[in-house]
Amino acid sequence: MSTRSHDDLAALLEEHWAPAATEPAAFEAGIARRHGRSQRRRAALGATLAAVALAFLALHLPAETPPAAEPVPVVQASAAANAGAWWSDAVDPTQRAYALPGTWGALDTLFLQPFDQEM
Amino acid sequence: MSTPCATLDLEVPLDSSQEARFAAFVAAHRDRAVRIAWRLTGEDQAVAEEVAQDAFVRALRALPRFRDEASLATWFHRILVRQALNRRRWRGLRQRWGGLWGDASPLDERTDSAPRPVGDAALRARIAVAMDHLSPGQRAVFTLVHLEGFTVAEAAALVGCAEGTAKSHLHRALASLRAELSQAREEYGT
Repeated sequence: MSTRSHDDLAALLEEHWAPAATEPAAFEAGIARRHGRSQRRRAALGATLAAVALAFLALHLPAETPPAAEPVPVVQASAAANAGAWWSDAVDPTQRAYALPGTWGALDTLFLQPFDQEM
Repeated sequence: MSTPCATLDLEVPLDSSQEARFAAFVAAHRDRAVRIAWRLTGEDQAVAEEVAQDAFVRALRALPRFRDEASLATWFHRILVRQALNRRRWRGLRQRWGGLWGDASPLDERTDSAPRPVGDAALRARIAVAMDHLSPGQRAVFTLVHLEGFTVAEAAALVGCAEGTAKSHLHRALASLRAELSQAREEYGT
């Protein structure tokens, strides 16, 4: 195909296949409107993500942190209750600070502490 | 020629120099952007303006990252071309799948209110049909090179393909358009 052919084709399309002239003020108002909408959408997305993150943290973080330094009452109680037991003289409550309260604490008291003493 | 715009009423914290810079950028590239979007999407003027406006909004966000206008213009045209091609792709998908759900495309309902394009209506329709027969890549490369004055390398970068692929697109597009529009060229004496 010749260059002339390219030029003729381009000239035909250039002349007969183009949009109408754009009205500058309306076009720029459209940019501003779209930009405002985009900003609001981004702000709403940010707020939604923050809310989801807060909800996730609220669900997965413990409600209150247990005191680290104080001995667990269950351990103290179990130590006192087992004061007469054959292994009780070796019980050191400060070494039992990791013991769990409630059912696990009771299991620990019943089974693990004697086992620890034997070892 | 485009009319320069002194300021844009934007809800964005831009200093006055940046705002003036963006207004000048819009004024310099507005007509060409709408024309490229119109030719690549193959839809009405309102859709072309929407695509161009979206590209300008992205350019506004990216403005502080570009110091010189040439690199900003290159980046802007790449965004514009990709948005126009995406728009055309989505339109094709909607037309293909819309019938399944009885979905009437809202884009096709507003052509009456849009400004009329330039040129003879019958010839414009023939050109539109001939352009619709091109693949998206052929249409984009032909439009950018032969109607908008980009080089083949620039068009390849804008479309996102290799230069050899762009040359191939261009060759096939020219052959197809020449075959379909040869009679029209004789009738209209070009």
